[in-house]
Amino acid sequence: MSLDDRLREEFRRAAASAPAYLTPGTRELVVRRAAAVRRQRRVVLAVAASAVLVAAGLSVGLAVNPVGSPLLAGGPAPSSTRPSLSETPVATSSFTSPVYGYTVSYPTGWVVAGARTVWTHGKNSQADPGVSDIFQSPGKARVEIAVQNVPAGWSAARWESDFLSNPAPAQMAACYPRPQQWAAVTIAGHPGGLLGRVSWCGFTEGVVVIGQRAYVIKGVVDPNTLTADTFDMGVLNIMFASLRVRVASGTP
Amino acid sequence: MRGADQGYTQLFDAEFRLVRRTVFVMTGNAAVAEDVAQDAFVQLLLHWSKVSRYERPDAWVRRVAIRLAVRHLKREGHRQLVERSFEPESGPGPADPDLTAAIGDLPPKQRAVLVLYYLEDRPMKEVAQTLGMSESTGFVHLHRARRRLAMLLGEVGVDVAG
Repeated sequence: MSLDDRLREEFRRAAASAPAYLTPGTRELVVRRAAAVRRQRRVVLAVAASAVLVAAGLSVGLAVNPVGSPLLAGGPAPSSTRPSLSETPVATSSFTSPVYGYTVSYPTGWVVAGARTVWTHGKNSQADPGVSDIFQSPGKARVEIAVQNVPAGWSAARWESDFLSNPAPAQMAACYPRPQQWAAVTIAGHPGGLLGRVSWCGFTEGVVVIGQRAYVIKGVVDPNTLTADTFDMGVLNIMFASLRVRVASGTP
Repeated sequence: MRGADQGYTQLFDAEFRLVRRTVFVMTGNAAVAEDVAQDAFVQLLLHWSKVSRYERPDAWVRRVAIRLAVRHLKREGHRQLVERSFEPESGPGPADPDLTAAIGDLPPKQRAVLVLYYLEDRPMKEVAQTLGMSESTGFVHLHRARRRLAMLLGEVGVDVAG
């Protein structure tokens, strides 16, 4: 028997072993799960809207308290009373990156492991140990932030086209769409792009270039989850809105 | 569900078991197949207003399911298909254990290509679209899978041309 015939026979037998029945109520279960996801998304949107309001309030605060004030210098952790989702905590703490110099708010209760070395273009990737500031949730989801110097005049789109090795692999094209297909996002008050955000990509990533530096804020979902969830945008929106950066002066 | 979603109901009734069967053959695990199929149909319902206008909504949900299954296999670290728990009352079990074990050694994408190509008898163009790759890449996966199977099975001189 040829290999082709053996393969067809093998798969035919395996398929014959597959459960043929449809458990009563399966469709209703799927409908209820979809409804739950919709409710969750509505809450996330509400949280995101709250985060925008918080950011607006923070901006007003900055106008009164200039950079360097205790507000951004590791003073008492700012907190809020946003409505809570399972993954979106109600309070935030502040972190200033010793390597990259930015300051960002993150959910209280998460653990931060600061980067130990800069992310140098062409020499290491964001996945290398020690290159990213890592904000680890109590579960397995996390946020990674890394920064690269870029030449003057570069946009986030220009950075991405340079960063990705040629075009993205075909199977990852939906995760790394062309810049004109990016979802717009505001990070630290600057226009940026949102990549990933497809369940099977496993990540949602905001990219922005400010002052000759590319900031990449990547939310990574729990790698063990089988559900088709994307990263909690409530958390990312808090971090996007609260990011404060230093003006570039040489290495990050 | 409202009456307007009757199309979804019909699609679910027609396709759920087929999608689950394909995932079952890929993963060898009935529980995983059920979970993945449900996840895919949750996604279908969430995107139904858009996907229902597509020419082939069934292909969309199948694509989502296959990709979730590939992700699962990657996470599971290429677990051997021989570990799968065929239910005694539902079938005779593997009759070709060497081939079953050899398939279990294949990378998830190669396994997915084989299942879609040999079980579902899909043309490579459709297999490649389902897996989000070019047709030529699909043929490369098929060729490499067959070559590796031939090697593992000790078949000398087997024709591995695409």
